[in-house]
Amino acid sequence: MASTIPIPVAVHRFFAKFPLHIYPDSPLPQKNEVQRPSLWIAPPKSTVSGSVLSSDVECLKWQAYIALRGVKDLSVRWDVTPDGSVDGRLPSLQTADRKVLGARMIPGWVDDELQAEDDAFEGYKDATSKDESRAWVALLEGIVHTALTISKPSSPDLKAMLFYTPSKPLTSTASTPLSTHLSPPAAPISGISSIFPVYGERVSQSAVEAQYHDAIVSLSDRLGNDEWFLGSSRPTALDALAFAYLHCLLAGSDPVRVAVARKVNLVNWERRVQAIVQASCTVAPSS
Amino acid sequence: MNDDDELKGHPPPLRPPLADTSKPRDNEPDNSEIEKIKKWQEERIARRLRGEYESSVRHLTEVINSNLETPMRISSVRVEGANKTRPSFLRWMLKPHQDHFSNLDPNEHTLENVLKATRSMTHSLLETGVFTTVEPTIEKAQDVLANYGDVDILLRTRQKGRFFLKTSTEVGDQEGSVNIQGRVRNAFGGAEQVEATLSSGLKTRLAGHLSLSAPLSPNLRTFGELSLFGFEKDCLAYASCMEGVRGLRAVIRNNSRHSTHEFAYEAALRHIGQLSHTVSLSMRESAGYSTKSSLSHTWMYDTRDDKALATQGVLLRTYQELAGLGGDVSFLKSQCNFHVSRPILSSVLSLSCKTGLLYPLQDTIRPPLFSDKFQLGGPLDVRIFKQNGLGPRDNGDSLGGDLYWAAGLSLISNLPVKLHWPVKTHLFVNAGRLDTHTPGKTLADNIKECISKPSISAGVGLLYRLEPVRIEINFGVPLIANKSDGYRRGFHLGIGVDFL
Repeated sequence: MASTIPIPVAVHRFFAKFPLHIYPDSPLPQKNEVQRPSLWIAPPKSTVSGSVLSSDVECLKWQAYIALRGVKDLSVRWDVTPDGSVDGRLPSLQTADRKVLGARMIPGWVDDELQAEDDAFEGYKDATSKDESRAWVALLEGIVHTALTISKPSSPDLKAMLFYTPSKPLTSTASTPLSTHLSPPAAPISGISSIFPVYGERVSQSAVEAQYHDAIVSLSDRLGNDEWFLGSSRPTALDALAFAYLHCLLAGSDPVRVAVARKVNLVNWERRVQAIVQASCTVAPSS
Repeated sequence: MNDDDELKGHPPPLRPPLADTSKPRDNEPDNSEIEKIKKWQEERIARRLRGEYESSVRHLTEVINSNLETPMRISSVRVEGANKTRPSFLRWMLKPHQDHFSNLDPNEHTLENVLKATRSMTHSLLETGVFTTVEPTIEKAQDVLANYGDVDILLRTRQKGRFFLKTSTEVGDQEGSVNIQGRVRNAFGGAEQVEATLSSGLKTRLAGHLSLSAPLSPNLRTFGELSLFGFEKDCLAYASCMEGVRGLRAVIRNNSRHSTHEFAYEAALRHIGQLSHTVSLSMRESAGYSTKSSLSHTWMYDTRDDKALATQGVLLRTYQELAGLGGDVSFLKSQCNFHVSRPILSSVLSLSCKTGLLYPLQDTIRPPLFSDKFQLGGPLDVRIFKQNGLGPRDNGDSLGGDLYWAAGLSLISNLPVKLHWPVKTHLFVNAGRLDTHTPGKTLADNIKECISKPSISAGVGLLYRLEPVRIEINFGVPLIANKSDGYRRGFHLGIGVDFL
């Protein structure tokens, strides 16, 4: 609400005279000089080989999405932490006009950049393929994501424990429970008749592994020798998602890596897409 | 009472209460006024007792003074009532005094020096904060091997309670908070103090502090302190973020009459997070964790008669911090404060200056971070400018700077017609500037530019000393400002201790 106390005209005139002199603006640190859009991602597994592909599947998904849609002049940086990102999660997109967008805003930004027209099929060849893509997305973000998460050894985050405050919201992707990716959600560790509050997740590792192997086989069969998934003539969001998961699985531990490595068509497709994504991203100077 | 009767050993005759004992010079009231007679009698008894006490003291003083040169040696020192204090600690405390006495020339082993030693021992024990009272007594030595003239010093003590719990509400330095504080005094029998504090405030949302302090020298001028601390600071108003710090601090502090030295080591884990939706790009880049490991030295010389509203005296404070002994920041931080107050006619003229420099030592590690940078502006330093409103700003967020200076000149006077009121008038001029290192420029050029382009404000106000803080209500305007500075013309309220 605006101030309801009126300022007398004489006082207003008096105030208007001050300050008597104004110096020009203080310069901001050089780090903020932004020439082109940059995607904030989790750092690559190793930067020695010149890789610019994020080690985090969520970041890589959007990195691949932007690259496969054909946006030019995109840089990536990994010096910004999840705390600095929109909603406390990477990735975020820094535009040329110093705005920072969350991941969910990226498709709209890409459409604006490419001045793309509305496509009812979202790049798929027909409505059936578009519907089928939803099932593959659910499979990748469900059982494949769970298998990938389980394969990574997790250690307690000492920093998060030290800085725990009851009012602080969860901000880390690492803290996303597996239940959000599984259908039906995992049962809690505490029993239904337990006197303790519900905590933890009871996930059957063997069941997940069995479903994961089936999923990879299905994915391989569906890709066949096509250039893009579902027989599309150009890359789609499903291709970006599939690439992100395949890349992370191949870089992961043996239990999940071997299942993908056995499928030659998946490995070759991942390498081909990797080259495209790698070529379309450059590292921002601040990283 | 007849003095002759007492001298002859006759018992004094019985007299009824409130009997007429008047002499013309005593002005005894009339018999009909009982209350007045009662009061008159009480006053006379009190007067007589006071006279007897004074004459006893005078007599004792004369006895002591006439025997100051009497040869006397300290045979032993005994402390009674200190059952929760370690004997080794008491020996450590009292030994320097005994040694001092022993090292005197044998001709100086006199009553006078025994009394001095007794006084210094008593004072030392009281200064530990462990004892409520210490009553010294000089007794004939109990040791069978003691020589003629040897005495024991007996110190009868009463210890303070060990446990202390306090809740309080505090206002100061533009901050209000509620605190709960627990303390264990003399925790391990050596004047150690364990203290835990938990507070919640407007700016510092949550803070906790657990410390152990102990004297390191028998003269109690040097203390050591080991503490764990943590706080969550609300910077949403000026930097759209919350700052959390968890750390460990080890301090050695030396106090003398006017000056204090403090050497400290600090290891801290800092976190910038919980950004608001309107946060600037610069603050997003600053978010995350950082670690600091630093050594610091603080020296303070303070002769002011009052910390919040001095009428005379000088304060000089220097602070040097070297970070980079581990951790991921490396810098040299230097700050200096100067304050002088002088009475002029019926007013007080106060001049304050402060300056600071943050110099990165290795560019390869990390540049200075938000948590380490200086902030300037607000009612406690450069008035009329908003809290932390000076220096580089991005989308309204104060990013902090590496180099600053501020100066203030104040004339404090009594109210023109109400000289005895605790409210004073205040006329002030403030100036200052906060800058960052501009790449490509030398440090000297940066300093020159910082000094040559000050933001200046001036105004008048009323101030009130409300123990232990000072409250100011000022009206002022900015005379010169930077385009990025945040300021507000008109009235400002300031509550705190360390004003410019």
